[in-house]
Amino acid sequence: MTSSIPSRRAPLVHVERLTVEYRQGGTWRPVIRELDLTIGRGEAVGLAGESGCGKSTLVSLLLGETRPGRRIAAGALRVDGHDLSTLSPAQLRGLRGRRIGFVPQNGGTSLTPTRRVATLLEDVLRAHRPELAAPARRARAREQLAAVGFPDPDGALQRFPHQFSGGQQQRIALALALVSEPELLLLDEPTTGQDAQIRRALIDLLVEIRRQSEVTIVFVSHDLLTLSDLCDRIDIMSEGRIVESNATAAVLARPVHPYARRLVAAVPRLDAPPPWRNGAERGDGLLPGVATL
Amino acid sequence: MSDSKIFAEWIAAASVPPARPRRSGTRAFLARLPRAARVAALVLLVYALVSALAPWLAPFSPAEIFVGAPFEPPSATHFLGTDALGRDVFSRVLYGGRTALLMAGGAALLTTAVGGALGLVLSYCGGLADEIGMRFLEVLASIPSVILALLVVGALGPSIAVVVVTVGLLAVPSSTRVVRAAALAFVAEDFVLAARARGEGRLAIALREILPNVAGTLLVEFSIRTGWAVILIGALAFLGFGAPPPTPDWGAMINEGRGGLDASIWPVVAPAAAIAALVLTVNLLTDGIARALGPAR
Amino acid sequence: MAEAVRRLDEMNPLLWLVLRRVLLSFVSFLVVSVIIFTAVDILPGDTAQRALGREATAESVAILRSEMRLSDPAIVRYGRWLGDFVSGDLGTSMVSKRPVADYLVPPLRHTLLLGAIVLAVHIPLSLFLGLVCALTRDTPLDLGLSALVLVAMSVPDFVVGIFLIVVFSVELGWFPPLALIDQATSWTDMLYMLTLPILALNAAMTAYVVRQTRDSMIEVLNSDFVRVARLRGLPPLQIVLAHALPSALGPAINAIALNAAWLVGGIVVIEAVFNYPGLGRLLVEGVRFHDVPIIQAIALILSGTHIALNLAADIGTTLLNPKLRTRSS
Repeated sequence: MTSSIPSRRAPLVHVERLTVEYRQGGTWRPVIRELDLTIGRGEAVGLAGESGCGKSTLVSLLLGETRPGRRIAAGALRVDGHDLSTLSPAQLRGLRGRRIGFVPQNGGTSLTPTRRVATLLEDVLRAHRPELAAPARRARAREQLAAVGFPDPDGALQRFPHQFSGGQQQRIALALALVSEPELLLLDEPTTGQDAQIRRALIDLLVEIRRQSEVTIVFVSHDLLTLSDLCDRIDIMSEGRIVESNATAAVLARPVHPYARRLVAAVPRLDAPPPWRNGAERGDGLLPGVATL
Repeated sequence: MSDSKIFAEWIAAASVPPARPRRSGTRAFLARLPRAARVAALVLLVYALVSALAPWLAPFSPAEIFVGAPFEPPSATHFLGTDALGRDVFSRVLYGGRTALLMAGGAALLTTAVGGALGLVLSYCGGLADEIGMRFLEVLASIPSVILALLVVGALGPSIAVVVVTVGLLAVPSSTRVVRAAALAFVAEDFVLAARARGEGRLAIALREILPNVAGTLLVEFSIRTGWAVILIGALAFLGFGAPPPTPDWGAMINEGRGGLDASIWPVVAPAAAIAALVLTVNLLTDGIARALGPAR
Repeated sequence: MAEAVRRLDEMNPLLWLVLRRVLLSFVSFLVVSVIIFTAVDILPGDTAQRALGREATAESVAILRSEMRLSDPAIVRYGRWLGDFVSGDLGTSMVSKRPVADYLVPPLRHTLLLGAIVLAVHIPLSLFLGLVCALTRDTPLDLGLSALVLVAMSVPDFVVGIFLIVVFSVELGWFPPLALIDQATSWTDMLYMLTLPILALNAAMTAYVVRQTRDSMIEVLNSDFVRVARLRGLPPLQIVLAHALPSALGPAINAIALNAAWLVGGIVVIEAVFNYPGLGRLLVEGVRFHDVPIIQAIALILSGTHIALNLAADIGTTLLNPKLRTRSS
């Protein structure tokens, strides 16, 4: 699925010369510097970069979050043409959850421990789909839970978050993000700390969701391999800037920026060394694939 | 009563049990003491001085009756007026400070010594002795302290020694628990294991290796228990089970003055204010000490 | 049917946990009864001698001794006492020569009444204040409340009571200085009389729960799931009350239960301050007159209540925490 932006509509996400600073001691230090980012409807964009490069800050800002000790020094973030910094709390609530679904890094700690899964899902629906009556809410919750791969959604609805495994908790978090059928799905390192199998299952699930809906995805990860199967485009961030932005295959095959090259080179490969590796690292005396394992 | 037990828990929650001080030395410790605590220390010093110098500072004998008319309002002769028997309230409050400080300090010292020793022993013994000891102390703590104090003091008859020992021993369970917990943090430490490997005896290890490390905890505990003892001893005296009559005692003064409140509030308000301010001062100091000993925040 | 079985299975560990706590509390109660019996009975001085006073003749002491069967071994007397106690026979007052059970009932009712009203005010008030502090943290309101908390914590309850009497009874004349509830003519009259004791006890208790609620609420408000709930665009009130509060309630409930247990002792003193005809005042009188059966009965009732309240706190905290309530998979 390639991005096709309707001509008269603004891009779904448009970040313009954004500079964000954190207060450290008495001074403000930038973590995001003059960042530009445009994401079209239906696109799936991977945002990669090392920890501390500003990825999570960007996600938090896209959700309109404000924090003491952090400020937008310049530039603007627009979602569907609205400048997030000008929205009222009520308008922000209408955006969060309803139009932007968010999957946090740690599924387990992101789920209110005292609430059953059914209640958690219905909370979101009650807030964002007020037109649904109670039975319809329950049906929608059940349907969404089945859609993220729970074979027994009725049983799962009745349980508390701690009664699920880490991978299941992450899928519940995904269901919570999707249950109100948002246009944009933000995933902030949802696979970090999970084992490879769970990572794979989540990616497969997201690919399937993309096939069935028009949802736009922004997937943040420090792991290019995770992004490569899902995303049309990969943006690589380093020190508060996007240093590389291109179609997935192009980024993987011909990274331009030095940091992007290092990141691509760090992708573990089990098969034969890919052609783009040959030039850069032939002289290291080891089989390239082995060197990075 | 457990006002201070509760306070103790608050302190415990507010400050992780003092780890080994980052910089030892009294000066470094004083430098870390919050300002409120320094003021409190100063006020406490004033309390102590005034109590010690009461015979010279008090214009009248605390026990002598009819040095003025009954229920005189505060005046230049009687700063805080006189009570029902015409005794000088100001002099009585000054002398009452001695009673309060000595009794509460003595009780707290007893608590800390016994609780500290028990805590060290239990932490080092571990196993069944520890289990049984802690369970027993837990059960003992499940009787409200005022009630147990009333029972014992009532049975033995009120005297300064009985009240001090009873109140001191009553707080032993919670002190033991606190010291034991602090000591347990060190039992598995390398320097303790090393001492054990050197073949040092249990007592030597407990005294030489663990005790210095829980000294901060003991200090905080002593401070908490002083405030607690002031309250409990005051309450007992108020109920009529404190130091026997000729001894000027704030709690007893409050009790005696109640009947004459309509005539004059001073015989009640003065000792009540003195006791409240003393506990507040001790608690502020405790809070400061705990913060100064605790890890930087 | 299968659903019911599954739920029962899920509940089982909880049942087991509760059962164990109840058993432990029961053991505590037995040990406490031994301590109370011992404290009153085996301490130096003969019970009969103490009861009759120094001037008593040797014969009268001997008669009382045989009446009380004091020559039996302590363990036998303890067994008899506890057995009688459990079967409702609390002994005969040594001062009035009337069955203790008879004149324990009205004071017991009065004390329960006072305690119940105090808690009914205490729980919502302190939770609400704690919540306010947490939501306005580090503002002047929060700092002011926190300072007040330290002061209220430090002033002994009987001193608070005395100050209340001085201000509201002696100076302002708004409330009666004594809570002579026997003379109350109506509910409102009774509440009016109880205003100052209720205030005094709440002043001592509120601080701690406010502090606990504030601290645990702030911790929960900073937690990941509250942030994410916010990022799901849920209404703020729902986030605070439905998502954050239940998790913060554990420490608060624990603090409330500790307070309720504290109240058992605190009420003894406050009853004396306001001359309230409850168990506490009766206990103080009993101790003053060495009325052993009364002392033992009241001490056992109050300590038993104390233990029961601690048990309730334990179970309450467990029930609030789904991690303890249900088996994890």
